[in-house]
This record gives sequence, C-alpha cells and structure tokens, in this order.
Amino acid sequence: MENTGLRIEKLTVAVASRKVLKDVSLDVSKGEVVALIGPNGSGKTSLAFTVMGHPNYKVENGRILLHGEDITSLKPHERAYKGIFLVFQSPPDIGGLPVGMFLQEMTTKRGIEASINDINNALLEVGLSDHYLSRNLYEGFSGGEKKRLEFAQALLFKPQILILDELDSGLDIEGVRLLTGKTRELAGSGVGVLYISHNIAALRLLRPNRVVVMMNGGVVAVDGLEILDVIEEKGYQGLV
Amino acid sequence: MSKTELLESLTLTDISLDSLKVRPKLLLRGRISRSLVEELSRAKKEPPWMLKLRLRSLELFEKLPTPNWLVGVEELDLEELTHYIQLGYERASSWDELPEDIRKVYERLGLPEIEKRALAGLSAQLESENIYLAFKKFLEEQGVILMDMSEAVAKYPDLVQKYFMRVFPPSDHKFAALHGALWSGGVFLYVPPNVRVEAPIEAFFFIASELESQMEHTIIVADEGSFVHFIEGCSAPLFKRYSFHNGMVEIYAHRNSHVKFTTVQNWSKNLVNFNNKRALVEEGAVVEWAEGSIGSKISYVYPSAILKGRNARVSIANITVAKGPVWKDGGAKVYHLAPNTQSEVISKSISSNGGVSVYRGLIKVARGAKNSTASVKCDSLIMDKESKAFTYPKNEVEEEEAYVVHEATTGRISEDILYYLETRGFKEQEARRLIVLGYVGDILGKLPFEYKMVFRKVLELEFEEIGGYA
Amino acid sequence: MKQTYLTLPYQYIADSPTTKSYAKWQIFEEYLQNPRRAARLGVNEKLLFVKPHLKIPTDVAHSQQEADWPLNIDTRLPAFHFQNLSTSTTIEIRGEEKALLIEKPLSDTYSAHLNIYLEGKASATLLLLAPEDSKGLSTLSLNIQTRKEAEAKISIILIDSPKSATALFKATRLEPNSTLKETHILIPGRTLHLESETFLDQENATYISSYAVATPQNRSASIQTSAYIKAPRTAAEIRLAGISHNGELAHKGTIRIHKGSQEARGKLSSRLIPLTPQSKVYAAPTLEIESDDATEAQHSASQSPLDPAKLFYLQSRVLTELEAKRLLLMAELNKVLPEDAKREPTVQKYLEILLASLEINIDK
Repeated sequence: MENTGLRIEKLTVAVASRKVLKDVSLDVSKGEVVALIGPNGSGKTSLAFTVMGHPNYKVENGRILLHGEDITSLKPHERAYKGIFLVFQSPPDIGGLPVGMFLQEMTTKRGIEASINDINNALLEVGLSDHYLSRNLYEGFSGGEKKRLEFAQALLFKPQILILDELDSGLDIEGVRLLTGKTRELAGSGVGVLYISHNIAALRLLRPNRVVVMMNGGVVAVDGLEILDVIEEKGYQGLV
Repeated sequence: MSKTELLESLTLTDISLDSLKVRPKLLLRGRISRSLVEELSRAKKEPPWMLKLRLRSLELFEKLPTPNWLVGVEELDLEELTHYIQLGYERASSWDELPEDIRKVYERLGLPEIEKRALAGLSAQLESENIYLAFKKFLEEQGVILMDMSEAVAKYPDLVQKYFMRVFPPSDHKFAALHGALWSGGVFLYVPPNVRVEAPIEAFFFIASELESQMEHTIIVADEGSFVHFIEGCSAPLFKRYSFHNGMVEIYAHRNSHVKFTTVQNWSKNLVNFNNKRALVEEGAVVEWAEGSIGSKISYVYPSAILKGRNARVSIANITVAKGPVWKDGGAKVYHLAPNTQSEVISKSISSNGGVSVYRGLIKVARGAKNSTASVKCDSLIMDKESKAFTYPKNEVEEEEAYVVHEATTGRISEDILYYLETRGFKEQEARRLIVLGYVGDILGKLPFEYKMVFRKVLELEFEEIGGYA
Repeated sequence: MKQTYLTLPYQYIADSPTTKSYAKWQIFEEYLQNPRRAARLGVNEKLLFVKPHLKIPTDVAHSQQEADWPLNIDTRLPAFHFQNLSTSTTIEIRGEEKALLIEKPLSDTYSAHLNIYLEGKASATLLLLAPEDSKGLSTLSLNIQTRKEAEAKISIILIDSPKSATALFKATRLEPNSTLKETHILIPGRTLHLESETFLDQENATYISSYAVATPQNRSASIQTSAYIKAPRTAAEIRLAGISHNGELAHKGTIRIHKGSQEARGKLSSRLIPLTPQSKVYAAPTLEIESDDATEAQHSASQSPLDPAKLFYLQSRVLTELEAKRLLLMAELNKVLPEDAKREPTVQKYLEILLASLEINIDK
C-alpha cells in the first residue's frame, strides 16, 4: 500500500440524516492529479467538505488516511496543519478582514515564513495585483477574482494535498489556462491534487492521471481521459 | 354626526416630528353601565359563561390604564359608542345616504349590480344566491362550522368557550377589555382535522351583516392537518355609520394545520379603526396574514403570532395606504417560543397628501427557541413633501442560535425610474401609478385573484389624482 | 446639594412595548439614593496606550466653566448629573490631536462636564479607564460642536471595571460644511447607559459614528444613538457592532429627517452577536422621515451568531475554532469603523482588549 498521499476508504457520510456519500473509495498519491466529475448533487463537494472535516458531514462508515495516518476524527484546523488545502467553490465573504492580514495569519499558523514579497508574488502569479491586499476578504469580489485568490492561498500554503472544488467555474479562459497550468506545476513538485470540475475543456487542459466519476453519492467509474469523450457525447447517462 | 364631522376635519398634518415625544392621555367621556352589558347578553340569549366574561372585561376596562400613545383621538365618547351596539344597524339604508365619493368609486369599479347593492348593504338577497348556498352546503357536509358568532355561542357553547378570548385575553389592554364587554357579531369558523377547504371563504358575501358591527369577534379554528383560507372585508370602499371600530380576530392553528387570513379594508374616512389580531400557532402549523389597508382615518392594526410549537411558521404581509390627512399605525408582532420556528414580515406603506404611515413591530425570540429565523422588511414610500413615514421595530433576542434580520428603507419615487418610463411613452401620472403598483407588487401577489384585481383598481383610482406634484 | 432630581422619572413614558428603554435604572438608583462625591479617582495605567495631554479633574479642578447643554433636562439621571457636577471644562482643539483622560471614581460618584469645540483637522481622544477594583459611578456629559469646515474626529474609549457604572450623555452639533467621524470602543462595568444626540441642522454636514461594544458576563449596556437631520445635503450614518458573552446589550438608534432636508442621507445599522445561550441582545432601530426630500433613509439590524460557514472556512485555513471565532469577531468590529480608524494601532489595541474582555476562552 502506498503510504504517501490521501486515501479515502469506503466512506459513507450523512448530512442531517440524509446520506450524501455511499461507500466511496478514492486515492490521490503524491504528484498525482485525479479529476473528480459528476452531475450536480452527485456528492463531489460533500466529499471535499468531508475530507476537510466540516462538522455537518457525519462519517457513518469508513475512514480518511493521510500518509497512512487516520485523520477521520481530526478537527479542520488539524487537517489543514497536516497539509490538506481546500479551494472552496464559493468562499464566504468576510468583511472587515483585510486580505493581507489574513494571508499573514494563515501562513504563520501553517509554520511558513512568508514575507510581504512572497505574498505579493503569490498574488501576481495568479494575475491579481497587490492592491487586493488591502481589500476585505472576498467582499465585492467577482467569481473569477475569488478563484484566483483561493489559488494564491494554495500557493502560499504549500499543501501536501490540494483539493480544488470547481476552480474553473466563473473563471475566464485565460484564468483557466493559467491556473490549470499552475496546478500541473504543483503536481510536478509532489503535491497530490484532487480536481473537482464540470468543465470538460478545462479537464482536457489539465490532463489528469485519472478520472473518477461520481453519481448519487457513489463512485460509478474510474478511467483515463477517454471517459471524457464518452461523457461529452452521451452525457453522464451514457456511462450508466 | 358631530363626532364624525370632527374627525373628518382633523388635520393630522399638524403632527410634526417634534411633537411625537409626548402625547396627552385619551379622555373617556361617559360610562358603560353594567346593566347595559347584562341587557346585551340577555338579548342575545348567551350562556352564563359569556355574561361572566363580558362583566369581567368591563371591570378590566375600568381598571386598565388609558393609553397615551394614540394620535388624533383625544377623546372617546363611550355613550355614543354604545349607541350603535344597541341599535344594531350599521350600514347605509339607502343608496342616497351613501357619501358621494363612495358612490362614484362603485361606478368606476364597474362592479356587477348585485355586488354594488350588497356593498351598499341594501340587499340581503345575496345570502340566498344559489352559488353561495351550494358552497355552504358543501362546507356543512365536511363538518365545517361556519356561522355568526352569536349563533355559534348558542349552538356550540363548549367549543366556543375553549377558544373565546384565550389567545387575546381582555386583560391585554384597555381596548381588548372594551371589546370583551361589548363585542357583537363576527364569525366562528371551525375546520375539522384533515379537512382541506380549498376555495377561499369570502366572509363578506356569506355573512355580510355579521362582519359589519363595531366590535365583531371572529375566531378561526383549524384542527390538526386542516387547511382554510378566510377572506374578510373587501377592496371597495365601505361606509359605516359608527366612527370607532374595535374588532378582534383570533386564529388557532392546531398541529400541522394551515390558515390563510386575508383582510382587505377600505373604510370611509370617518373611522377610527382598532383591530386586535392574534394567532396561536402550534407544532408544524402555518399561518399567513395578508392585510391590505386603504381606508379609515386613523387605524391601529398589528397582526400577531405566537409560535408556540416547534417548526411553527407565520408570514405577515401588509400593504398600507395613507392618503390624505390620515394616521395609519400598523405592524406585526411575533413571539418565537419554540425551536425551528420561522417568521417573515413584509410591510409596505405609501404615504401621500399629508398621510402618516407608522410601522411598529416586535420580534421576540425566547431562550430555547433554537434555530429560529425571523426576517422583517418594512419599506415606506413617501410621495410628497407633506407626507411622513415612521418605522419603530424592536428585535429582542434571548437565544444565541437564532437568526433575526431586519431591514427598512424609506424613500420616494425614484426619479431614474420615472424618467425611464417617460422615455417609454408613459405620462408622468401613469408612470407614477405604475411605480406604485410595482412597489406593492409582491404583496399584492399574496391576495386572492379577484381581490388582487379590485385592489389594484382601487389603488389606481386612489393615485389618479396625484396632480399638483411639481 | 439640591435633590430635585428625585422628583423626575427616569424615562418620559413608563415602560410599554412602544417605549421600552432597556436601561438598568435600578443600578443607577443605588448610587442616586445615597449620593456622595467620590474622594479618590484613578485610572488603569495598564490600559493607557496614549499619553494624555489633559487629565480631568487633576489638571482642571480649580476651573469651573459653564456647562453648556442644549437639551432639556427633564429626566432623573441627567438632572442628577448636572446637579452633581464636580468639574466643568471647555476644550478647544484647533487643527491638532489631543488626548484627554477622565479619571474614574474608585467608589461613590463623580460627575464631569466637557464642552468640546473642534476646528480644522481636529482630533480628540477621550479615555475613561477604570482601575480594576473601582466600583464608583461616573456620569459624563459632552457638549460637542464642530466649527464650520472642520474635519474632526473623536474617539471615546471606555473600559469600565466589573463593579463600576457609567452614564454618558452626548449632545453634538455640526456647523455647515463640517465633518465629524466618531469611534467608540466600549466595555461597560455593571452597566453603561449612553445617550447620544446629534443635530445636523446646518447645510452640508456629515456625521459618521461607529460603535464597538462588548458585554461580558454580568455586564450590560443600553446605547441610544440619535441623529436629527434638518438641513439639505447632510448625511448621518450610525453603525454599531456589539458582542454579548453572557451579558445584555441593547441598541436603540434613531434617524430623523425633517422636512426641507433635500438630498439628505440617513443610515443606521446594528449588528449584534450573542455568543452564548444566556446572552441577550436587543435592537430597536427607528426611522422618522417627514416628506420626500431625503435621498436615502434606511436602517438594518441583525442579531445572529457567527456564521458557521465562515468559521469552517477559517478553520480550514489552520485556525482553531477559538482563533477563528476571534478573527471573525474582530472582522465584525472592524467593519463598522471608518477606514482611517482601522489603520490606527491604538484603535486596534483597544479592540483586542475589548475582545479579550469577553473571555471567550472555552471552546463550547
């Protein structure tokens, strides 16, 4: 058994007594890019939130392992400290919290020494200017700006495992090219990436190692890139 | 009617912001004698418990403090008040007796002849019309009890006693006590468990005369799992002889029942209107109050709900029009007493030609009412320099896991929107009318279809003569 | 000492659903029944991050200037205050920054009045920092006026000890074309009653007032903020963020716009956060608008706990639950402050103290 990376073992998860994940197993090894696709409501974001330890998602069965260690009962900040980073699909806006201050807090807590320069560079890398530092976190940000800043955080965070929940939605074509490219770079440097998406074109740019398809809370297929062609032609129903 | 004339000439435009702070206490002239109350009860052949309630209410009326928050009503002549209760006729007795402006509106509204006559109180024929009879029969077959309150007290005394002035006791305030002593008329509606009455019960056409009295008492009881929609009033203007109205509505929504209560009120401008309205909402039940208030000179109406059981819900929607020198004081009160309860209040008012609209609200979330949500939106539209809008909400939260939000905006007709409509060919008058209708749009949507149409028409007529606006 | 104040009621109209006051008059009554002027006054040095230019009464005890007060004195607490004045001082600040320390009584009562005139780019910081063991009552009245064209700022920092009490009365008037930005950071003792009335009856004046309030266990605050607009092209904005951790917090805010205030803007917002089941938060925002002259008149109030979605997000960024709570609370407090106040290190320091006073140490 590969001891490095994220291992999700037979997870059954419920939210307010309603099952959202049924017996889901998935592996993301170091340096691997795994794409997770499926129709709306199939459980992709539920999986992301469960891995991140969201209190509303109760694990009824199964476990989550990081580098061989069982993290199923760890709190969110403990999982973050161990190197799991989630790029939220819809990050909340937190007025009154300046971006610069937040980024500094976060990196310090992570044990990373990030100078103002490092922070500025991370912003530039994702196509945001440094004037975003003084803005309040996500207040008045467009969809694309939110995604870029989430990704800048990921860069600063230096994660072991990076989960991207619909990074490409709301992002213009330039942004998609830029960030999928950077995702590949991160994978190249050893980060295990779980890329949740709907966007077939973005997935093709990404060239994941594996594509996992979820429907109705369970995994229905695991394949290579070819499966994208099937879906494009026949929709998700074509797999059933 | 000297009192009426006095009321009509009252200029509420004298009310300025500076004078709001302290108001003189209401002066009560005359007395209501115990023997009058006993006589009233005897004439109606009421059971002893009802007489007891009346007498106890009279005692409370004499003991409770006189309100000092009334505006425009400096004195109340109790003897004149009881005059109508004894006489028992409250409507016009001939077409000619109707005030000119009301007659004109009836014409403009284009109502069918028979409805015009019903509205004018001239025809008792309506109650024998076939379509209404058929509906009444249908209701009887379902076990629904729908009759005027006095009849219900006589026929179903135990059932009525279970509910009469329980959620709104006479001790609540002086006018509730007055009501308890002198009430007359009104409707008792009981819907048995799991019975769904899909067609709305338009009380006006069923029991018209009963809803006409000065202090009518209406009780709606929806037993477990039932559904009923009760509509009181009508959009067309009504003329009443008396000048002080003090009605009460009590709604008891048992577990998982659903009650919709719609009031449309357009009374002539010689009236001071008090309406005490309260609903008790049990577990899983839903109560929807929708109020459209156009007429009367001075009105005080605050539909309220006590969310007693978990998952109970209430929604209160008000449209208030204060056109001319009138004082329309309204709002909503909700008490969240159990977990997972929800309330939604939307109040929209329009003040023009010196009118004053006032919103008073209370949202109270008691400790233990976990996961309750309350949202209040109260907007006021002021049409000209002379008109005013005052908003006084209160949110008292004693439970940490509760979500209460309140927003209020007071504004005027947007010049940008006016200009836009004018560039689309609408004359200024028409543009204003469109904007006003748009403003009340979402609440208007909650009224039943025919009411919506008439209400719209009435609003349009009201705002036709905006004129003189620079 | 005259005691005519005992004949006056605490509030105009007796408590009724419409006029509820939320103030804890009974606590003030304890002091008023046995009034004694405080013999010893002091300050909590540990909380003094600004060097005061003036100490009241130490520096002004000998002078007695007339207490200018534009409002009627017809209720008990202000009547007591004005009949009990120990000092009355006038301060004029012209285009500079001044910090004033008002000492607090260790026991009994101390009443002081200040006339404050602000001209040009004037800035005044008032500090009331009670020594930890003090249990006295301070009553303070401030008559504030901004001169024509002034761009003035006032910060009021009140940190009371658990057993002390404070009543603060403010009457503010803005002259034409002047701007006044106020920042209040308030931690009450047993109770704080604050009444602030601001009059914008001259053209082109702008008033922005921010309040950051915390009510820990056994402490309460009733904050009444009113702005009265009577002139064209004026703007008033009142914003309050309050956090209650087992305490009681009531905010009554009024925006009143009179006829003739063309293009006036009035805005009131109240954000109250109860952190525990025993916390009580009350909001009563009021709008009184006369005529259609105003361009904007709105208010909003929300009472709800911290957003769990935001807490989770912060925790996913390595913050513990407690750290996430604190960060989010700081964000809520900072939201109401004007931009320049946010950047001031002293303001941030006092906000940290405010947060710490809530003693949110235990993860629930």
